[in-house]
Amino acid sequence: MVKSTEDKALKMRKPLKRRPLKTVPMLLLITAYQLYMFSQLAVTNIKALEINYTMLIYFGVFIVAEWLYYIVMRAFAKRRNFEIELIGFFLTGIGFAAIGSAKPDGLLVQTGAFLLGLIGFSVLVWILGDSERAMKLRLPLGILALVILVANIFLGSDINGARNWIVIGNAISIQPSEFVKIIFVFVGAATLEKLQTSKNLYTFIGFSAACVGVLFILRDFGTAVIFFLTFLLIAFMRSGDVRTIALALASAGLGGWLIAMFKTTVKNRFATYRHVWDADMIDGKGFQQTRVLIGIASGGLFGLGLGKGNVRDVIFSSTDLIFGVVCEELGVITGFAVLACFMLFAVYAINNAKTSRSTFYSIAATAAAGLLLFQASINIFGVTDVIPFTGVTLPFISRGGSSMISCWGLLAFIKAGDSRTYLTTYGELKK
Amino acid sequence: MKLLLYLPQILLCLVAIFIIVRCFVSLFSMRPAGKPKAVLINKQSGKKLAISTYETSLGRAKNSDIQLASSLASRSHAVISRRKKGWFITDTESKAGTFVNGEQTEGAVRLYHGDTITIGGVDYTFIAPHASRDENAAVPVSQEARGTLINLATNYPYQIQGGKLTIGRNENCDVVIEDITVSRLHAVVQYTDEGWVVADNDSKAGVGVNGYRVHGSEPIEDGDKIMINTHLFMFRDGSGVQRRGARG
Amino acid sequence: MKSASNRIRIMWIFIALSLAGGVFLMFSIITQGGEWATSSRNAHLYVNGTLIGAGNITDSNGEILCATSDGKRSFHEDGEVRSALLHVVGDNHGYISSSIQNQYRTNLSGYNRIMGVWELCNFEQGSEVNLTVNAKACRVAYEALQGRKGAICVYNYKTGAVLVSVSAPTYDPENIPDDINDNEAYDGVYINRVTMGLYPPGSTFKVLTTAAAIDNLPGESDKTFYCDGAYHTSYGDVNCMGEHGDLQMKEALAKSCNTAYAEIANDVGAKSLQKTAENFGYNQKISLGKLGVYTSQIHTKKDDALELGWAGVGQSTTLVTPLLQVRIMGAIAGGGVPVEPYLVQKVTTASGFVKETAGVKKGSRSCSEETAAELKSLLRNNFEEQYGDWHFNEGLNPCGKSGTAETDPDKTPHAWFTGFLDNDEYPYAFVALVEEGGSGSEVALPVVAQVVNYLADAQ
Repeated sequence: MVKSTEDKALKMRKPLKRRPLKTVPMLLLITAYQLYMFSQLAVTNIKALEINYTMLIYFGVFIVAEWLYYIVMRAFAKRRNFEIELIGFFLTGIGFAAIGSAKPDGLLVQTGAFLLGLIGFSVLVWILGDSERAMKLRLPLGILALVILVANIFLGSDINGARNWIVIGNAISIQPSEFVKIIFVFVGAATLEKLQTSKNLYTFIGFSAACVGVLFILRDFGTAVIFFLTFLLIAFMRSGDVRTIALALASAGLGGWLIAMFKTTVKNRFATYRHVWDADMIDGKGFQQTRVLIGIASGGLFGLGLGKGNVRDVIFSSTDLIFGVVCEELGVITGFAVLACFMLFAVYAINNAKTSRSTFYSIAATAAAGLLLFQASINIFGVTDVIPFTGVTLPFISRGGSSMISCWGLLAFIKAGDSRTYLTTYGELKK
Repeated sequence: MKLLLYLPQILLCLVAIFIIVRCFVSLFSMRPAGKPKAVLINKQSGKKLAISTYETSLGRAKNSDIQLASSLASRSHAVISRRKKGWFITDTESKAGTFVNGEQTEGAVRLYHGDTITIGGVDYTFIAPHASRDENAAVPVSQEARGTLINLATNYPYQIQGGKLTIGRNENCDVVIEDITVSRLHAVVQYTDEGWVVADNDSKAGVGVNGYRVHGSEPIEDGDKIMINTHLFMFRDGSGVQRRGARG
Repeated sequence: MKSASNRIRIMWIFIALSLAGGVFLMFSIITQGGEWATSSRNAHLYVNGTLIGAGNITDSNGEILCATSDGKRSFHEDGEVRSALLHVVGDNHGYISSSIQNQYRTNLSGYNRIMGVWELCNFEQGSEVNLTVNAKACRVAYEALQGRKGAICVYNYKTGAVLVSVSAPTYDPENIPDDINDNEAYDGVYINRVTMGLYPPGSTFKVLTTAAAIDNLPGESDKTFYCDGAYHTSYGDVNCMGEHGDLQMKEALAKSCNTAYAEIANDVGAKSLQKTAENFGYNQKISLGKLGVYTSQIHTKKDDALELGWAGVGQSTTLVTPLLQVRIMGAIAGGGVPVEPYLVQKVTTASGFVKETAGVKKGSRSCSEETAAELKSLLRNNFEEQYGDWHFNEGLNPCGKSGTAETDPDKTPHAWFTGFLDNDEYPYAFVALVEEGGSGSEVALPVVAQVVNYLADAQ
C-alpha cells in the first residue's frame, strides 16, 4: 500500500502543469509591446531623432498607470490575479497606438479617460465585492440611468446624426448612453432570491424598454441594438422562460420595423449593405466600408506598420473605423486577435458561472461580456460589410472618453465574476 | 535582405497572440476557489442534504438545487445563500412560508449553526460549524477539524493541530523542509469556512495539488497530493466531515 | 444556482454568431482581398488613377516588355515589339482585357496575400512577371504577317512554354491610332486571335479525322478511295480541290483530298469523330494561366452524310482557336498527351521572393501512343511528299498539315498551317493563321516557317 503510493509519488515528481500566469513578466512583455508600438509613432524621424514629446507624455502616463495599478492592487488589495486587467491593458494599448496614428489630438482625452476608467474599475470591483451592497444600489442606479437618458433628450446635442451627446461648457462632451451601459448590467443582474420572485423580470423589461426607447428617440440606432441584444441575454438568463422573451422580441421587432420604415437613415444603411462596391456607392455611402476593406487587404497578415496606413486619413478613422486602422497597420492577425479577446471574455464568463458566489455575479459577468461582444461584433462586422453598418465604437480601442470609462466599468463585472478576485485567505497568512 | 525589415511586424503580431493566449489559458486553467459547506438534516428521516453552492434554491421544481418532496412546499420555496456576513435564508414568495426556529421569515433571515428550518411542514437542522450564534465563541476546529499531512518520501505523518499547519524552510514552521528552493513560509494547510485549503504564501517555487499548480488557495480533500516544489505530501482528512462531489 | 448557470449557456449562441461572422470575414478576405487591394480607390497603389508601382513584365530573355517609371507605365522601346506583344502584355487602358497586364494586375501591383502592400510601400515596386515569350521572335512573326490579319503561336510541347503568340491586327499601345475604331483594318483589334479567335479548321481537321479512323477502323489505312472531284451523297456533294483518282489514306492526307476524307468521316461515324475531337480538346475548356481561352466547338450530326462529310474535312460548323491547334500538335508530338501551354514563367516579389513558378503540367490523354506515332509519321510524310522540308532549316524534321478554310464563297479562304518539329532540341509545335490568305501551304506555311527558323537560329 505504502509502496504503491511511493511509486505514484515518483510519477508525480514532474514539473507542475499549466503554470499560472506570472503577472510581472507578462506586464513587462505587454509594456515592451506597447513601447515598440508607441516608439513607431512618437519617433517621427529616427535619424534626426525627431520625437513627438507630447505624444510621448501620453504614452508614458498610460504605461506608468498600468504599473501603478498593479503595484497598488497587489500591495493594498492583496490581489494576485491580473489576467483580466492585463487583457484590458493590451486592448487599450492597441487603441492608443491606433489613435496615435489616426488622430493624435485625441490622446489627451483618451489618457484621462483611461485613468478615470481604471479608477472606476477599481471602485466598481470593490462595490461588487459585497453582493448585498450591490443589490441595494440597483434601484437608485436604475432611476439615475432613466434620469440621465431623459435629460439627454432635452439637453442633448446633435453630433454626427445622433443626439446622444451632452456638451458641458465648450470643452467637455460626454455620451450618457455609455454610462447607462454599466447601470444596465447592474440592474439586470440579481441574486438568486430576487430572481425567484415573479415581478422582478417585468420591472427589468420595463426598464429595458425605456432605455431602448430613449435611444431610438436619440437616433442612436447602434447602441439601441446593443442594449436590445443584452436585454435578450439578461432576460433569458433571469427567467429561462422562452415565452416572455418571445413576447419581448416580437414587440421590439414590430417597433423596430416601424421605426426602420420611417427612418431614412436606417433604410439607407440597408440599401448600402452588400452593395458597397457598386459604382454609385463606392465613393458615397459605401465610402467608409470600402476604405476599411481596402485597408484590411492592403495590410496583409502582419500590417504595414503604425502610421503607414491610409484608413487613418478617412473620416471617423479613430472611432467607427478603428478596426480598419488596426488591421492595416498592425495586421489582420492583430485585428482578429482583438475580436477573439471579446469572444474569449464571453466564454470565460460562461465558464465561471458554475462556481460563482451568486447569480448576481454570473449574470453580471455574462451580460457585461455579452455587451462588449455585441458592440465589438457590430462594429467590426459593420465596417467590413458583413452586416449593415451602424456607427458604434470598438470597445477599448476606439477613441472616446465616455466609451473608455464604460468599457473598464463593464470589465469590472467580469473581474467580479472571477471567484478568485475576493479570496480572503491571503491576508491571514502574513504574519 | 530587405525582408528583414518585415520581421518586427511579424514579431508584433506573434507577441499579440502570445499575450492573449497566455492570459486566457491562465484564466481558463484556474481551478475554482473553495465552495461553501453546510448541511441540512431532515429531522424526521435523518437524511442529509449537502449545500455546496453560495446560493441554493429549495423547492419542488425540478430545476431547484435541492428538490423538496413535500407537497406543501412551493415550486420555488426559498433560497439559502452564503454572504460575506454569514448564512441567510430568504423565502421566495412561497405559499406556506418558511420558518426559522418556529418564526415565520420575512426578507433575509440569518442562519446559525443548529437552527431549525421549517419548509412545507418538514423540519431541517442547519449544520454549519463556522456559523455559530455566539460570534465570540472559538471556531470549534480543535474537535472537528483534524487532519494529517504525510510526507510521502519519509512516510512521516504531521498532525494538523488547531486547524492550521505551516510549511516552510523557517524552523518555526510546523513542517520544516530544509531545501533552499523552498521559501521561508512556503504554504499553509488550513481549515476554513470553505473546508480544508492549501494556500500558497507567494512562494517562488509554487505549490501544487494533484499535479496542478495552486493559484492563491486551493480546496483540498482526503487523499489529495500536495507538492511543495518537489517535495510530496499526502493530505488525510480526519475531521469526519468529508466533502464529496465538490471536485467535478 | 444550478438552473441559472445552465441558462447562461445561451451566451454560446451569441458567441457562435460572432464566430460565424469572423469566419465569414476571414473567408471574404481570402477570396476577395486581392480585388479589394487592387481597387482603383486604394491610395497605396494608385495616384490619380495610375498604378504607381506596378512591377515589370519581362520576356524569356529578361527584356523588359512593360515597366513603370515616374508613375507612368511604359512599354518595350521597339514599336514593332510593342505591337507584336500587345495582346499578351496588354495596354494601359484596359481595352485588352485578357492580357497579363490586366489579369495579373494583383501580382503586378505589389499586393500579396501575406504581406498586403508592404513591399510596395517599402520598395516602391510591385512584383515582376516573367513571361515565356521571346520578344524578338514575336516581332519576326508580326512582320511575317505583313499587315494581314491572323495569328501565330509557337509553344514548346515538352515544357508548355509559349514562345510566340502574336495576333493581328494590332497597334502600338504608345501611339494609339486615331482611326482605331473606324478603320476596317482594325476590325477586332482588341481580340487576341490566338486564344479568342474561332475559325473553321479547314483541312487541318483531317488530322483528327485520321486519328478517329486509326482508333476505330483498323483497316481504313489500307482502303482505297476513288476521287472524281467530289464525294456524292443523296443530299449533295462534298467538293474536292482536284480529281485525285485512286488513292489511300496516307496519300489522301498529303494531297488533302476531300473526297477520301468525307468518306472516312462517314465510315468513322459522327459519334466517334466527335469523341476523338473532344479528346483532343474540342468542346473542352482549356486555359492559358489566368488568360481566358475560348472553347473550340464541334457538333457532328448523326444522320446527315453530307454534313458529316463536310465535318470530316473541317468545313462544317466546327470552330477552333489557334491555341487549340498547337495543343493538338503538341499532343501528337508528345505521344498522345498534351502539355498545357503557359505564358507566365514566374512571379517574383520586390523583395526577391518567387511567388509563382510555372512547371510542366500535362493534360488528359488525347489519343493512344500508337495512334500518336502513326499520326506523326503521316504528318512527317506530308512534308516529305507534299510541302518539302526546304521551308525549314535543315534537320528540324517538320511535321504538319495545311488547311484552307472557306467561310464565305465570295471571300478568299483563311490559310492555316499547323505542325511541329520532331526534334528533341527544338520541340516546337506551331500554328499560323492568315485571315483571307488563300492556300494554307502557300501562304501560312512560309509565315510560320520563318518564325520557327528564327527561333531555331536564335538558340
